[in-house]
Amino acid sequence: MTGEVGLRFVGQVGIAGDADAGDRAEFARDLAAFGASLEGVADSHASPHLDLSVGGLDLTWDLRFTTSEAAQAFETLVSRAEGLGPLQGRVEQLELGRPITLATGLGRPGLVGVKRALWLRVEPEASPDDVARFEAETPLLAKAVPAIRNWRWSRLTSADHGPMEMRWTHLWEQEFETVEGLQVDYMSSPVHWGHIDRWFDPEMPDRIVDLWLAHTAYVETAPVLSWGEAG
Amino acid sequence: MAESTGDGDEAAGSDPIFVIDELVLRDGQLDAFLDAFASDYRPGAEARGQRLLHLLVSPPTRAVALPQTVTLLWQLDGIAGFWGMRSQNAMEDVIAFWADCDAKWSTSRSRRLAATPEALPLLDAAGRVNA
Repeated sequence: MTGEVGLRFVGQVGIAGDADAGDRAEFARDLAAFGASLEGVADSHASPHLDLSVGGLDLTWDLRFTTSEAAQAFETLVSRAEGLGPLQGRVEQLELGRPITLATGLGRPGLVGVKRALWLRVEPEASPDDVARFEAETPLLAKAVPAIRNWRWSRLTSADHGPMEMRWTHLWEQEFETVEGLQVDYMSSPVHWGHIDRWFDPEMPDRIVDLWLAHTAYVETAPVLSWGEAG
Repeated sequence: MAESTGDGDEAAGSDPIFVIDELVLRDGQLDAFLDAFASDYRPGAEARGQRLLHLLVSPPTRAVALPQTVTLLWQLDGIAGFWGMRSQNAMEDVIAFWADCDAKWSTSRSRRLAATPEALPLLDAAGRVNA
């Protein structure tokens, strides 16, 4: 397992009321700016989810802090009722987690492309051996699909109560140059449908992942997965 | 919900894909399984694009009571057929059938995906279109 526990946060945000594409884009800009204004923030990025996303909220918020103290202060801040300051009333739901990296690969650091994430929950009754095998196998997808330029595979932790509470246990993030890399290469790889998908398929006795997934994708304006790395 | 994001490249991934189910049955449960399979599973599976090529029983006898293994060989229409199946199989009746199977008729079960050796290069290429 690699490090950086607690310096990154990844969240999904649901916007209150009916928000059209323009509203979501405006809110994303405001949220990214709010994040950038926080003490000890190195990077803040927010982007609305593309229409191909399924099962998630309206947008993703990525944050990176310079110290674990600053990250802890942020966690405390957003656990309070008014933690998002002037944006609080515009937020209907916030699921914010700290990724703990299990494995990562940066084939193209600095890429500003399409970031896709699969948010998933491993069922609590899954055996530790199965969880370990699932965690070890998932990065095979990055080996098999060269269109995945950068990737990170993480466990997710979050506060037990309050606005940061979330249902997800794992986060599988990838960066592609274009959305076709996701929709064609990733979905067509036999390593995906012929091997890894058994952890997800409700007809497979191997399944350990809850059927409720969030598949989110957005267009980046910054190299989110290679933040802090030489570009 | 399947982890489905859109159509695959059908031209590069149109070779048949096979689904192999193997079930080790409890003693005396062959007929109960076959009846439930025919009425509660097969019609829905075919509607999801699974074509049953073979249903095999081993050992091939009813003369004495033996633990028997059932092998189901299904064919899907390529990668698009696979995701077509997966986008429709998170249904209560499908999940209930396999739960019944595990509880009543079988002691162990596996499902694997397969293809012919000749198809492997094209299937692998389908995952490298934008490499």
